[in-house]
Amino acid sequence: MKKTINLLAVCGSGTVSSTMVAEKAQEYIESLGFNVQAEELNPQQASERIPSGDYDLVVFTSPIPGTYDIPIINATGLLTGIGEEDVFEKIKEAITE
Amino acid sequence: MIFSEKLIIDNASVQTKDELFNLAAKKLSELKMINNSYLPALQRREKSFPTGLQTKTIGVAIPHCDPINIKKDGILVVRLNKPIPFQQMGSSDTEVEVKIVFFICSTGAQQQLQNLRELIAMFQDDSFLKEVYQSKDLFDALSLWKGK
Repeated sequence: MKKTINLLAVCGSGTVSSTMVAEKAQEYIESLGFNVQAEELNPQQASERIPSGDYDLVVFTSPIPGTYDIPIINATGLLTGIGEEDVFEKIKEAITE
Repeated sequence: MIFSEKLIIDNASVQTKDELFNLAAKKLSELKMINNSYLPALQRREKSFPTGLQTKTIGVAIPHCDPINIKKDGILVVRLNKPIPFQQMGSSDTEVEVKIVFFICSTGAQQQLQNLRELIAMFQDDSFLKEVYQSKDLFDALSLWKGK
């Protein structure tokens, strides 16, 4: 039984670039042998929902106000291709630690 | 084809982001693509959620705002004769020297996602983006994009 990672992707609108980074992050996490449950929100919604404990990992293209005790990863590199490997490396560290 | 010959401003000699946004809004308004609410919405949005992106070749930006401000879908492409600094997307302290600006106008989230997907694929194609930037005719160069 594969472990499921609850992924939250965050961008300014909560619909567009978050969907793109969610797709890329999801594909990568699945390639590591996990299931993924992905959701997208804007930064304000995210700051309200993250403390609920519903998510294991957050990727963002718009910073989220506040500090949290789960990994929050800047995933803008998944849009530009620059630093894409770094983003994947951070995601991997976050879910395999 | 996501680009249109009407939606091109080449060799724009604007000095600031404000001038650039005014120029874009004027053009989009002439083409009846936006509502009056577009310019302030665009400025507000860019301030809260910056859209500069440093690709492997050049700096680009993709200013956009909520579909509620848009009447017709399209992407206005502006090539600047002098780069303008934008904040990097996802950051509050990194600047990008932007040379080409893609104003994404979308009437709905689905269209916005499609446009963005297409542009991002283009940005990741280093040689294509470089050719676009160095081209004599901006629209001719863009129209060679086959999509992903």
